[in-house]
Amino acid sequence: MTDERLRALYQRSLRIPGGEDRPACPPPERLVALVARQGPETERLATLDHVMTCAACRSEFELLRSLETAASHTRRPAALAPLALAASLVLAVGGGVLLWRAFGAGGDSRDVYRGAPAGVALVHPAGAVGVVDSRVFTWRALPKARGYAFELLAADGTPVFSGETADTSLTLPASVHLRPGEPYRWWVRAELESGLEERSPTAEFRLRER
Amino acid sequence: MEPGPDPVSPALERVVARYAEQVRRIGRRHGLSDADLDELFQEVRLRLWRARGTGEMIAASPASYVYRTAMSAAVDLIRRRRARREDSLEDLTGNPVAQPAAGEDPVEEADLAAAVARAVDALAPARRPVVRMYLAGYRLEEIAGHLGWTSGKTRNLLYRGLADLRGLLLERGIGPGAETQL
Repeated sequence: MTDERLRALYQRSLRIPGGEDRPACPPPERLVALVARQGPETERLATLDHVMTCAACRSEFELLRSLETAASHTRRPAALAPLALAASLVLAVGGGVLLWRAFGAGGDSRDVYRGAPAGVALVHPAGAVGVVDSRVFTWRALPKARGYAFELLAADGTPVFSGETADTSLTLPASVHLRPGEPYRWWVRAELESGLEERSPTAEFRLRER
Repeated sequence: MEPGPDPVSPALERVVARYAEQVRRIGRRHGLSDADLDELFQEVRLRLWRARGTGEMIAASPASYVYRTAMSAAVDLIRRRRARREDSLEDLTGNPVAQPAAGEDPVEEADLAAAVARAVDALAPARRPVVRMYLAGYRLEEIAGHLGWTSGKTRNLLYRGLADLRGLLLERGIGPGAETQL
């Protein structure tokens, strides 16, 4: 059976509850937690499981999800602007790449990145970077993280590379080729000892054209 | 005396318009209606106007403030509709207008749809939500983004979940090789 056939049959099976059935539905706050990725993952998956079987909840979820997704798109440039300023300052004192990394490893960038407050803070790269710097990705350690999942995306959202590491940096393998001038986005998800997950905001960078 | 230019309305429009357009673009893909969004953003404008007062204050509203206002207004909208027992927001599933294609037996199609739903219910909890999102029409990258998972992990769970689903359907006589060919 094709995926399309499965989809058509599944969507035909979804229930549309009347008003009297809605007490069985999760409260709006749970839907907000679901789209904002707040709270334990097991709870969010349970809410999602209901939402995807209930036409009424799904329309409410879609409204909230659109608000959340649009906000993350709108917030991204503002979140990266202070980073560009920080990069300029580091370059101005002549430290170059090494100093930039030292700053990233030793300083507190929480004021620079204001994504999820408890999430992973990305350090480098961001903005326009050279060839060497475009291949090494660093982020701040999160207490009690067992490991990190890394993902690099092209501008249209196509995955370019993903990997997992216990370290707080990752170097792209030589087989991954980045195109000069094109924007790329990357993010990191920390897997915590508790079994929960925390994710970073998305950082954007481009390889300088020669 | 002629009234002076209203500085509040243009400021409200500037602050809300960009965000509202993004929301519409994203929401349309999954069938969110313009009418629902119009109602929501009218409420957002009212709340910003009440809370911020002047055009200058409204214009200085950060995007995060507009986002929080919109989320709060959306939650209140959902609560009001649930309390009034109205039809909720736009039905995104295509039901009940989704009808079997020409030549298909409506009763048989309904039975098959119910069988697919039961088989999805029987999937492992870790794989089930991913499969449900996919069957509801979400793309792989949307699912991964929503769950905060890598595309590799999402793809893995989805493919395994779909394989499980087809296996369960086959056990129930549905699918290629079974008595009921679909």
